[in-house]
Amino acid sequence: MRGSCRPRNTQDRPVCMTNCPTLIVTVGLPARGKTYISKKLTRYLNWIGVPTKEFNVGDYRRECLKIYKSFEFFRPDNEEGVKIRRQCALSALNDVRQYLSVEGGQVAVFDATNTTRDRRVTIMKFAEQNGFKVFFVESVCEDPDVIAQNIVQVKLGNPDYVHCSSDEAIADFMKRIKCYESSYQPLDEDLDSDVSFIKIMDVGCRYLVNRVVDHIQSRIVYYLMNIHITPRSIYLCRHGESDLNIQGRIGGDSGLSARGKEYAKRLGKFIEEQQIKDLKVWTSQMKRTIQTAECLGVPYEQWKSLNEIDAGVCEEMMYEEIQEHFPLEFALRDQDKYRYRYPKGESYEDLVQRLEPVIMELERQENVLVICHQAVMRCLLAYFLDKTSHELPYLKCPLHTVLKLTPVAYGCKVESVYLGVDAVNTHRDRPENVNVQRSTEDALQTVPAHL
Amino acid sequence: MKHRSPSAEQHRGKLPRVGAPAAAAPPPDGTMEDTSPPNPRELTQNPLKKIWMPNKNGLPEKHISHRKVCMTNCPTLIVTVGLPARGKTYISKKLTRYLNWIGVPTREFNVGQYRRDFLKIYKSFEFFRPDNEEGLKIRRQCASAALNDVRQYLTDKGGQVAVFDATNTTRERRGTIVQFAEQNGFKVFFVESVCEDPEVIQENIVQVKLGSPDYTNCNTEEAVEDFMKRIKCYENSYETLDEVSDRDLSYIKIMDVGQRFLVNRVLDHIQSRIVYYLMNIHITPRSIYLCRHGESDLNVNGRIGGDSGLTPNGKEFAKKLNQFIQTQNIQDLKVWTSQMKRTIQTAEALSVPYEQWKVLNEIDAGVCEEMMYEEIQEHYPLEFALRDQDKYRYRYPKGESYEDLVQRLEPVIMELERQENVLVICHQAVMRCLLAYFLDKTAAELPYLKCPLHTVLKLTPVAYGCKVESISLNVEAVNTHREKPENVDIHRTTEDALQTVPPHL
Repeated sequence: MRGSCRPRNTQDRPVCMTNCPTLIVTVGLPARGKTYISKKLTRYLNWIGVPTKEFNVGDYRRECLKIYKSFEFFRPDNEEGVKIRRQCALSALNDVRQYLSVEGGQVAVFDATNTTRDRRVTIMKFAEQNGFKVFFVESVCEDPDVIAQNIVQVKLGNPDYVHCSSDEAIADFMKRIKCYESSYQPLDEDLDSDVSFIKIMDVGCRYLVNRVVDHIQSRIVYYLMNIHITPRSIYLCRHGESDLNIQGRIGGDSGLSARGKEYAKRLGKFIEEQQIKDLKVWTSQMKRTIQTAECLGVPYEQWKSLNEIDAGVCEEMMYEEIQEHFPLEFALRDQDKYRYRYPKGESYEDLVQRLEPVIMELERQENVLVICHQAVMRCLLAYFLDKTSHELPYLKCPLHTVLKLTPVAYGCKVESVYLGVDAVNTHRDRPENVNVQRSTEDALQTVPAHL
Repeated sequence: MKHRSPSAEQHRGKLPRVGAPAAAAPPPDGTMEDTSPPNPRELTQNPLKKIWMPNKNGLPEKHISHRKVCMTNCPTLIVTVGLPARGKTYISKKLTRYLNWIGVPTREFNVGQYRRDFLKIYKSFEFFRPDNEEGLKIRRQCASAALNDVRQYLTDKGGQVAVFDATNTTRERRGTIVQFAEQNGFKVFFVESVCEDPEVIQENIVQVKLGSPDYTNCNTEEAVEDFMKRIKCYENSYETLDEVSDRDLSYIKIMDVGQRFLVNRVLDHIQSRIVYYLMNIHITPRSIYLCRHGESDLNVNGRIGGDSGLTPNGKEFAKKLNQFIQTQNIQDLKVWTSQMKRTIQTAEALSVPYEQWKVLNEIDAGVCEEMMYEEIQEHYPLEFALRDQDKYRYRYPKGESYEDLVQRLEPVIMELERQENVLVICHQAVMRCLLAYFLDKTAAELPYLKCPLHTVLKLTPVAYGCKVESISLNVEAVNTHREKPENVDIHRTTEDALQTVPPHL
């Protein structure tokens, strides 16, 4: 087969270096989920290690205008409004350039309606001048129920409508949408055949994907095609307390202690009481999570990728022993717990890579209970709660506590449910002294109590 | 709020599957009794795969927990759609190979093949004329015969995915297939290939049609001419998948060899993976080079695993590898290594940048890391025997299995599909897994593929498969290939166990 099978006119574009930054540009009428998608995508990309930031032009407008009066601002014949909106867009693009060219950002998400071809061409020129690749994400939806629900969920609480009643807000917002409708030029298979984009139709029922040019765009498309907005909850918890937990030892593959078994029973009751529809239960392939799941009386699936972080040569050691045998390693870990890799083991950074398929499947699924481990749970939690890599390794995930995560508006509601069974504390905070020359006492300052 | 059809994992078939004892959804064994079992079941660890399973009276109990992560609840029928020479068979074969490699039992059913078996001799395109009643009858029979085999494969033989490869260009034919699937409790996913680029079609004919059994007795020009007329026979009645008329079907429409895709109603995990895969493959000519690191210190000592450096021979290989790469004059070569010292040392000798992938690390031998086979036999004779009994599924204690390796390597394969010219410097077990993907080897063959040190395999996609060139760079190295011994019984003698261990220091 000949090489001419590649799209012919990529030669016309300026040659991009392999790692050139990407500008994602949303397209769509108001209340089509652009900001929802922008925030979610940004969260996902950051979690997998791609520095990403979103730039919401509406926020720039709110900064500039201070007070939102009414939909009239968005009327296409409102010259003052049009001028301000253009300025805000340029200001946002300026910050995009700063982020991608100067601050080390890899992906910028430019969140605005961008409903005219004109506006999109301006953005593409900007990107070309700066050596950014562009990828458009359009959301098209005409289902009035979806749009109404969108308005209720995220517009009513918006700063623009803080002083309005629900009815007033909805009425105004509908008129606002109308301002965009007549000039809306959706991405078109023929007119925009040279542009890289994904068009999401009817909340993910259908997708049109054009000219995916690289790995990151391919991953973005895969992610966007797997997310949904069906209401559901994700339950995260650790296995019941294990024998090694009680001894203050890390890793290993021990069974549940008596208290751990008690927790498993309580977990079974809790799940029953929650009356969750079609709950899927996932465990790791380590004995303690499986023993916990066995008490639930429902089928469960074992995932090797949910296994606890591999502590390599430190497996089954107490922190005191790690300090004794590997004081340098112990200090390095405290210096950068996210990136630190145990000798012959893993790092949190490795864990995240290993857990990405779990996150992808969690996005596809509806109600799921994940019974896992401390480090694993921290990684999953960090994804849902948008925690940085600094915060991630210190998230509190105590034994015998279930976290119920429910997506709401642009984020995630968390309910923490302690099931009332005592357990040892396994959380070790970062000590003050992380210097490699520190004393044993300083090193062990934050080790939690154990047998 | 309107949302996706609830329980998206539920199959869309309305009638119970014919003849199958189990319903479309796997029976949840754990819920047949009351919902809160008084005593949680004891767990035993399967000695081969090291999977914890509940047991009853000391015997492992069959439970959904030891099934692999479920890709789909019920079998899936993938149906190709498109005019001749649009790459349907190429896609069918490639997809089948990928799905089998990741562990989803898949088989393709090419209706053209059924027609060739039936007709024996192909005369001309006239057979395909829409007004040829005899032809139509035979073609319909062949499609039915193929569907019958599909039913058998998915319902009786444990298949999970069947790829029904035919033109399926009319809505009527597709309707028949959808009905068939519904009756049998299969999900249907259509894969349509649409292309009007005459150069692409021409190249397709040259690559795969000229060599087809249909045209063995024709010269090139005759064959091309006849085939073009054959395509014409389908064109008038071609009803492409349509956004509106076919909005209830699950499908992907591939346009212009992957430039554009229309994806409708992806229902479950396996369909999502299929879409992702189809969106990442391409047909741009390129070659993939696979080799291992240069000979390492642990290699010469007959030890497995570890993270040692190169021997002088190994370093010599690295230099020769650099020369080889230079002479090949490869355009835009990407070089990938693992994060182990020996592959990185090898790449360092090349004058090109390289990328380190942790997932390319050698199989983790757990407690057996850095042991000689003799030592494994001495300390873990049971483990050693179990490994010989089922080398693909066997997991080292605190280590990995080949099966685990494949799962870990899937992102590498996906990225290899996206890329063009790549050199992968890896390890024996890893290279076996990658090679098995490209050469469509079974799980039984995979762990015994020969991947000797200091030898580069150059893989070049051609027609429906992969051409392999083996290039030895003529630097001596120890042999690390251990064949399956005759005696794999756990009570075998040490001598029997070590029968096939290659010589070392």
